Amino acid sequence: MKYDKTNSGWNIAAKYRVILLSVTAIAVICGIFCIQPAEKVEASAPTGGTINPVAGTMLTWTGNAAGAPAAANGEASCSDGTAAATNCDSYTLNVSGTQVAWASLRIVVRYTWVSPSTDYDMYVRKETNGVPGLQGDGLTVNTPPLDTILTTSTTGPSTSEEVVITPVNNGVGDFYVRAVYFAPNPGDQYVATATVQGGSPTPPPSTSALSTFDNYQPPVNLPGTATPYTRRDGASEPSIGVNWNTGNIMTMARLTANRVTFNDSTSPANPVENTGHKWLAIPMPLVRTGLDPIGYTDPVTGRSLFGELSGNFTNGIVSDDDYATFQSLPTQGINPTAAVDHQTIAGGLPNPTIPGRQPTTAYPHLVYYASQNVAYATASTSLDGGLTFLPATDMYTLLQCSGIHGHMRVAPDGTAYVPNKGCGGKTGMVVSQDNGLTWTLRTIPTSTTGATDPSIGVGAGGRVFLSYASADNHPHVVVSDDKGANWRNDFDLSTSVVGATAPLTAIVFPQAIAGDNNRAAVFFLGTTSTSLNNPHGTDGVDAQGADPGGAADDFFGTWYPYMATTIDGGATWSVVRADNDPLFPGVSNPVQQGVICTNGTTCPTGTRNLADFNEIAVDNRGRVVAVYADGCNAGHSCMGVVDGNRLTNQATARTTVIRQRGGPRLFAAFDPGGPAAPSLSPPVDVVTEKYSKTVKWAEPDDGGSPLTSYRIYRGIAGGMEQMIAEVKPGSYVYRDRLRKRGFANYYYRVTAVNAYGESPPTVSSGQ
Amino acid sequence: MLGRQFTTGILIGLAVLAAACSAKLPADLPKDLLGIRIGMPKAEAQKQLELIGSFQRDEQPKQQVWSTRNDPRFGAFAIGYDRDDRIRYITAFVDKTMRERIKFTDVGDISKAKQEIQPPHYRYIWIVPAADGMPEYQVNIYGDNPDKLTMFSLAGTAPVIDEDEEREDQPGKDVDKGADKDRGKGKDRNKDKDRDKDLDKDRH
Repeated sequence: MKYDKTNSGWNIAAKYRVILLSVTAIAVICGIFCIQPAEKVEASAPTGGTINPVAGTMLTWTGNAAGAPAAANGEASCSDGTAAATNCDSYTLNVSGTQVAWASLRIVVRYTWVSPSTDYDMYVRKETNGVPGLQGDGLTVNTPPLDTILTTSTTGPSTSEEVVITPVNNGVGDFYVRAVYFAPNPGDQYVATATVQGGSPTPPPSTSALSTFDNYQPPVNLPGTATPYTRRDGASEPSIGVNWNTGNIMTMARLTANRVTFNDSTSPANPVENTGHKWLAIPMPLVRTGLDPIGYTDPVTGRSLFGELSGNFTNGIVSDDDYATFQSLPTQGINPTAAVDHQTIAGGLPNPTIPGRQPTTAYPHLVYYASQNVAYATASTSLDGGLTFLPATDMYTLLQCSGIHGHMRVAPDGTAYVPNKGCGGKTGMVVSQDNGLTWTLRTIPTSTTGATDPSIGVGAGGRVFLSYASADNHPHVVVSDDKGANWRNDFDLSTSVVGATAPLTAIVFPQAIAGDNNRAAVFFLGTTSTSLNNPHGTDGVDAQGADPGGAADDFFGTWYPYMATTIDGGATWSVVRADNDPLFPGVSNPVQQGVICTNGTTCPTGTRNLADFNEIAVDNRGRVVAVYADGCNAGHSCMGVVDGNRLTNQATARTTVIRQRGGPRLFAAFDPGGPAAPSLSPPVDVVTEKYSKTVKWAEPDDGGSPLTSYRIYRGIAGGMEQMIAEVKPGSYVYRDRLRKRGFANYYYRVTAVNAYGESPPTVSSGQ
Repeated sequence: MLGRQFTTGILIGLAVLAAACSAKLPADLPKDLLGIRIGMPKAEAQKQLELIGSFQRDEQPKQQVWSTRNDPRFGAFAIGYDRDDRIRYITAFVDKTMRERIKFTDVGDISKAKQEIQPPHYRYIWIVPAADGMPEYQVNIYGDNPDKLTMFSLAGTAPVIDEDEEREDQPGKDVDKGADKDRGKGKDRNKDKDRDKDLDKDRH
């Protein structure tokens, strides 16, 4: 049978065959396009839109699903089987432009509805798996791996949810904003907005001299022996305090308590171990390994209290002589709340107007202990210097704030503060003005909830400086002059790093301390990485381990210590990278390579080595000191350590103390003055080689004026040196080529020169 | 649907009776709260939780916040799981607008409880020994007034082994001891080479 063109058309057989073929073709086409598995039917109205990097731009959409049955167990209970049963919907938010174009912008996505009895939750996934369209939990059509969850907002009874997307960190392209109908009401659909907002303001830079800092670590071995100094590693989440009576600095972290004393005959203190910084090597009488360590040294009384928390048990230790001797407290003597998590100890003068809560012994200060219990947090007050405690008082519950709080600070007037990263979607703090009897929650209206604990510094006049990481992981500091009732100058410090070529994209562990009422410092670990992946590992994806070839889900950022300072009450701030190791001046000194995970139990192996916090303090001359656990220690060459096909960190946690070298102090009375000639010469280290001697020095305080040169002196006796060379700043080594063997001992010294003169010739090193 | 609501109501009612009609001896103190008992496996607990409440949010470590459904006394509650995903605690919070308020004396003999009283803080704690397959636990009630509680908690007394704080490294682990031995002793040759280049350039 064939098509018969002569029959002025189709012959019958041909017609049937064509019809048959047509039907077959239609069936095939339907098979391809119509009879696929059920399509995803969840969709908002409209289903998506594109947003541009222009402040003020807004997109809106609404929910339109029946929401039955309610998705009462989060995104996992989404069902899009039929339109009638759909209980979630999604909106494709296409973020246009480049990441750089979003550098100072963010997208605030917000759901609102009318009745508090209605509830919609928000889950935001980023297109990551290469399959266009949402791939998420509960969809009938999914192509694993699912797109990565970027953030969620699942607050309780309320009429809104809100998240913040920062394309400079999170990337551009498609984001899927998914509404989970937790307690839906078809007559009370949510209304969504995505609004482009400018970021928090950047502070004006300070016009004062920049502060400079140096990093010191305990020695490899006990002094004069080959015995390892065992208490320098395993030191995650360390505490620090200074006894202002002795100047000694006390640190503590997980059975790792150290005392360090600095010798300031040079600037900086000599970095050679046990020369310019001496570490105490007396074991502590702790009787069991703890999990949540905390240490506190009252700078005025000099008493140190610390403990290792395990369950509801705390090994309490007191020392009144800078760790020379210890007094162990009875079981739970320092944990009267019998609470189980994230303890903090603080102390200070009492509010003298509160009867029954005044010191009862010669010890003049109150001591506080606080921690979290089962869905609430409590604090206890000690009237006898921490030996015994009053019954615990409740500070807040899980309904008010997230469970884990930051470290307590006590103001000179006795007001006690405990910060919290998540109180109703804001950063906040609880405040007690009656010596720990009652507590009031105060939040910062301009803040968001971050991934790491905030911290508080209180100035001599009661000014509160609160540092926090915002939802976009940026460093913030905000000021209150009325105990948190009102706040001002909530600054984003991410673009304030002096000399930086890229903004900070993420920070962890912000720690604040204040001195005079208008002076404060904030210490944090930060990275400038623009990796799209979560720097805290909180997206639940593998960050270091078992995803062969899957580098796409790893965060590769490199973290450094940073220090922000203000001397004008928070009106202006200066931020510097504080990674200088005086042993290796000018050499990059990172703290961590890759993820610093803040997500507890779900953290990938090797990313929790730094645990949950660092700490900061001020010494008796107004110098800022801080402690952190260093995850990069092999000559600072953390970068380049390869695990499979990716860079990784060393997963160490070595005690490291940062100490201020130059710049304004937190107590103006001890400001170095100037500009003037450098007041101290640098420490000198001389190494004899076959035909030469190599002279090394560290970078000293510049006296408030940039250094112009270093002068190297040599002599056959100390004090008789003559200048042999002058080198420009930035050089820290001079090789004295002696041209013949068997030369005599020589003495060397190095001075620093600036526009105001030369440092005094106080230091010689013989060799 | 009606049957499920009826069942839910019965369970809530039983839970209310269990809590409110507790006798005065530790052995007769509440064994569960809202149908949740200490040591209950997560799967079993989740079924009960979905009957009595609505999930609100997760909290680290291994905690959840829920709102109650139609409970006359509690507006919300929180639960925590241990490392084996068994109920570590349940704490219920009173919504003061609720029509039924629980007195401290409704729960147990407060004269036999550990008392932590610092007005306006009133807390009573009983320890209930392990029995009938249940581990030892504490009944912990708290109020901001002398008569009626605002928070009701059951919590296991076993030490919490907090995975969140498990150590990543051990004291004495020195991954780069060799490198560190060189610190400060002028033996970092690569760096010295770089510095020597600068030195040559800078030398006068």
